[in-house]
Amino acid sequence: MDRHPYFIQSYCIIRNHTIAINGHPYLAVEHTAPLHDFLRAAYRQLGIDYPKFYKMDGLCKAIFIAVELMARASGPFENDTALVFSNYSSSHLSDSKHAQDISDEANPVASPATFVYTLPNIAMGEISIRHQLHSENVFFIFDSYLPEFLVPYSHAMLDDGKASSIISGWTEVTAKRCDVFLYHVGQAGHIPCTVEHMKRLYQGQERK
Amino acid sequence: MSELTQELKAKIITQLNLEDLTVDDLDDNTPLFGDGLGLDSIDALELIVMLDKGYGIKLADPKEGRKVFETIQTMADFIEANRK
Repeated sequence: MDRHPYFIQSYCIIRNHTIAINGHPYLAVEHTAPLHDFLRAAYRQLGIDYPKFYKMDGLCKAIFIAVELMARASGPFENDTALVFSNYSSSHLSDSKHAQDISDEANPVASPATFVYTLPNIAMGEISIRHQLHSENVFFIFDSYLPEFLVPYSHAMLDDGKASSIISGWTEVTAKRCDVFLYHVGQAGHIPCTVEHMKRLYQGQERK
Repeated sequence: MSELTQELKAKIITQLNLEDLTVDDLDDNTPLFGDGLGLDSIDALELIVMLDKGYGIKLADPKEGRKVFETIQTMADFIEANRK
């Protein structure tokens, strides 16, 4: 039975140097801009003062911006809002930077500021601190975006009362590619949170 | 000494990603932690690495760091007294 008691309250896509919130453009920059310049431009457009943003790696920065925009779109999150993220490359950006640091033959010294981001779930910690979430969180590594897993997983968490709402989706960030699709699912909203709808939203085929 | 404090300020801004700040924004006697620059524990580790990598100084006693990293000036004083 295709039940859909839960709905999308907001969603954000960061892809191809553009950001869209609930299907509406928020920012677009030159495709040749380095990833960090693009994310920094988005942060400045947010108009917030959160200096820790500058210290984050690319994965954290992209997730931070997406979640910040969703918080504005669907209101502040309840502090039991769970996080269910996924990607393919884990924390590869920071992993490779760390590997470079320690393989420097002349001076093989690890940078704590880099090393601290060599786990993808650090991004969830950053989000939890920023939005004061005291909630369940999990980060899955998949070959590709997998709504067939994420949707029922989120529904099960909501059914079990583990969270009042969930921020979930796909957060693939590498030096060459940023493909972030995050959505806030809960009781309110208009788009049913079904596998089919989440495929269409990810592909940019549906608007709120 | 002034050259060293300027160098430290530039290094701290770069290493700790303090992108909103310039060398001129940093006072020699501004506390680096707490109400001053607001650095955190990861930044402290980064400063320890900076001492080692940039000036060949290893902090033998981690507790020593509290005094050494109080301000840019205390860092510069420590480097002047211990650099190899």
